[in-house]
Amino acid sequence: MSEFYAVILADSYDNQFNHLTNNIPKSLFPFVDDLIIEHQINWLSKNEIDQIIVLYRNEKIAEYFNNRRRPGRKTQKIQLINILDSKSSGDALRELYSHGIIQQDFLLLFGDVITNISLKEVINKYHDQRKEDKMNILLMVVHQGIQQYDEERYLYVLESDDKLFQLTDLQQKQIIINKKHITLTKGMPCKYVIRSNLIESGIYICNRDVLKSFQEYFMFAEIKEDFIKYMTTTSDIQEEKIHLYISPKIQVSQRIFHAQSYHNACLKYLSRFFFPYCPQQQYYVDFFKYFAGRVDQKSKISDQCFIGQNTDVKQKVTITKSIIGKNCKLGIGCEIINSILWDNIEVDDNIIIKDSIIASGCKIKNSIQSQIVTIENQKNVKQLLSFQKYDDNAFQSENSDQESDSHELHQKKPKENDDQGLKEDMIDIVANCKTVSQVKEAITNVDTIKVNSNIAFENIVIAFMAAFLDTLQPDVDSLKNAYALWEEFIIRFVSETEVVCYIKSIETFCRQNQQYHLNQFLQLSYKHQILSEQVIINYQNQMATLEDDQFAKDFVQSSQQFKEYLENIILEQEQQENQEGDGEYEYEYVYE
Amino acid sequence: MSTLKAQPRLYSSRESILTLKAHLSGKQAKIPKNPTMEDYITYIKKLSNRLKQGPLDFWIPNVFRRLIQVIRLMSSEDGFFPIKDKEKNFKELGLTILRKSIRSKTTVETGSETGSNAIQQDVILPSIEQVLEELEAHSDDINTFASTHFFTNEVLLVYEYSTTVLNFLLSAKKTRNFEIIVLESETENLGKQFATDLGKHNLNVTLTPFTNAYAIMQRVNKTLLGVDAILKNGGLLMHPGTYAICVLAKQFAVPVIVLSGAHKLTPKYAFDQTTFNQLVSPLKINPNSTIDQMSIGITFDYVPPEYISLYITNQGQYTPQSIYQLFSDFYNVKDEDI
Repeated sequence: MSEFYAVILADSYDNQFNHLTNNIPKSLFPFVDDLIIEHQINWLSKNEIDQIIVLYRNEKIAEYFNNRRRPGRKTQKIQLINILDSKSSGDALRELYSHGIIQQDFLLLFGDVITNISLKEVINKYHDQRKEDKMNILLMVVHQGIQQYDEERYLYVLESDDKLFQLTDLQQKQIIINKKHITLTKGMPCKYVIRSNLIESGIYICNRDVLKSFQEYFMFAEIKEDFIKYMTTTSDIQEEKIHLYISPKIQVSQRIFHAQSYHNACLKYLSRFFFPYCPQQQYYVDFFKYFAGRVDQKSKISDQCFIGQNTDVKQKVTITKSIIGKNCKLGIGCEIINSILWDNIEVDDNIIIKDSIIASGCKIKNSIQSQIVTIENQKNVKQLLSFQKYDDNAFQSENSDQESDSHELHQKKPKENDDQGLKEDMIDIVANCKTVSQVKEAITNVDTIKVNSNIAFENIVIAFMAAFLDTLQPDVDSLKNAYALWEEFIIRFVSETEVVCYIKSIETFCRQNQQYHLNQFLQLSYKHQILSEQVIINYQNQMATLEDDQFAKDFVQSSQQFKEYLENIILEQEQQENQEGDGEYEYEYVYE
Repeated sequence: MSTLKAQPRLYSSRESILTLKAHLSGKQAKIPKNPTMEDYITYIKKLSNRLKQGPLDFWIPNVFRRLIQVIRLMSSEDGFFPIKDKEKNFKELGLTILRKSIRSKTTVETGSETGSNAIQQDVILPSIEQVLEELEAHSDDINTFASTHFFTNEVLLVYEYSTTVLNFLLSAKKTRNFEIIVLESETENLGKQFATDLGKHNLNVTLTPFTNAYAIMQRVNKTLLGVDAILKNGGLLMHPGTYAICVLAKQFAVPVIVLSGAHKLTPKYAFDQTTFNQLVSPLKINPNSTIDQMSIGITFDYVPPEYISLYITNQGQYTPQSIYQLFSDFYNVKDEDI
């Protein structure tokens, strides 16, 4: 076993995931809780295969392995071989042959296979067949199941002892079986079996002769289309034989051809089809839901979902059959359906993500317009408005600048609209309220407006004061009545931080209308406990410093008496505190 | 699809004891020089941790617990055991004579014998032998109680493959005539194999599918079940599907008798179906599962002690209310954390 090498073809030569594979190779895609290549290395080490060779085209794999610090078997050794010039898997194998590392048998594994097939029986069968005949060079591992995807649809024609006679693509219009060697005579058991319930798993156990034949026949580009087809069609000339290992029904594998099979493989992994390779038990919540992050209680998460580590899922989020990676943030009210989100993604409130793959580092924001979904060919790639480019792994980064500008423009307009609307609402409310109970209703109305439109307290106070002051008449009684009526409302919305704009609005009003006296307003506010003594005194001192202002001087003169009155009260309060101060203790709480 | 023959849990227990013996005799064990009894015991605990095949593996730690208990007993009282049967009395006598002769042999042959090796020879190896004997002979001991529990022409119900039950029935056949009904589980093929194995010995066997359980339970006199683990409160961890049979049996007032060797006694407590359990692949239950139509497979069924009438072990017969006594004899409380 020590001589047995495992060769991982860590790159795909097809265009299925084109947008994503321009940045990262398929082997470094995150698959639920770990990268695909880590799952494969874990599977190989559980099957006691220590010598691993990774054939890579993208520099990122070399970087990843240089920085990789993972616990593993002590005898594990991972070699990297660069196949930059190769355009097909055939070229990769030729490069491997030229390095001359492999002496005997090796296991060939495609970079997008997730499986739980136990290799012990496979290797035993391979060695048995090698002993029988030196011409058995390839053992192809297949598993039983329903052929779901077009890439899996093949017809397998087998002879006795699972020797592969012919492999035909079911997508062709005509299927021709090599009839030369099939002779059926009545009464004799038929030697050939045609099966369409086998799915190739992407695992091949090969001899060094396979590499030699790739070297000889330079036009071989793919393993299945070229090599196996050639060997089976010319089996009367050639002597090399290819066998199949059909795994028992419990052992399955899944290749990731395109987005649909990616999603399918993730769900199968969550549903424990690849037992004993499953997500960690400590994250298991319910029926096939795994929460490694924080999920709010008010959100609904369906079966077969995975929430990654450090991910924050806020309230009222609905997640259906989706996989969410690490460090993500989902805002309030999102809906995520049948999607795969990678790491470090921020999603704002009220966004629907459906049937998509979102790469790492995206920020998805809300906009007033409805969201645009584009479906390109067979990929469901969602273009969302305004996301920012991060260091790596964001796709469609060229469009992001334009779209972020347009987003900001949109944002400015509604603010003004909101302000205008608020003023009108406030005027309506103030005009309609005549009794205290109606004022209470008004309080709840304004509360809802505030929450729905997310308006700050300041704006409410300003709008209200404008409306309120309009209703007043210049005698003292109306002032008193008005204050008595609106006391609760004003107390509710004017707190310490809004006092300034409250007084400002009264001041501007008094400056404009000379009939009203600021002093009276302040006295009434103090009486109804809207303003405290200190605040009024501060304001009066501030007004005293304004020298050029006639209005201010008038105000200071008229409010002199009031000011003294307030200062007396403050002095009394301080004396009271000093008297009581001796008897009070300060308790320090000691937390044990 | 290849049918798997059920392996009795005995095999893994016995193999682990044999590896311990090989380690000690081959001097591969990392024991400090001049070891005391405590050093041996800690070494045995570490070995059981290493050999354990997962969090749901009870049988290897059980047998090591038993070994440590035997070692303690041997070293403290210098060899004499609480005696249960007259037959056993003579066995013990034979062991002590053998041991004394071994001890005399060693002192004669190698004069400069270190104390540690003496401990090993006197205590550890004989206790290993004793535990191995208990494991191998457990079936015979169970079968001695066979004849007392059955009348002639009774109908017995069994479920799936169990080697203990198989041996029990084969020995009971010599004295009684009875009829056996084998219930087949929906998911595995071992019921068929059990029926053929019984049929080879000319027993009257009927094989029925699981859905027939309600109908035939009315005509059954007793139920015999094999078990995977016996817990300290009397609950059982059994093959998936036995919980349904036990509930049915209680409904029809059919006594449920559980047969097991004492190496399946596990000093742990469970409260519901999920405490000692693991979800396995859905393909094990239904080979045609897809993601949308899935089955859920579990490893064990937990059966609470209220459904059981009697436990027959090779150390005696117990009711669920009194089986805790066996734990205190069989194991030591200090070793329950293995």
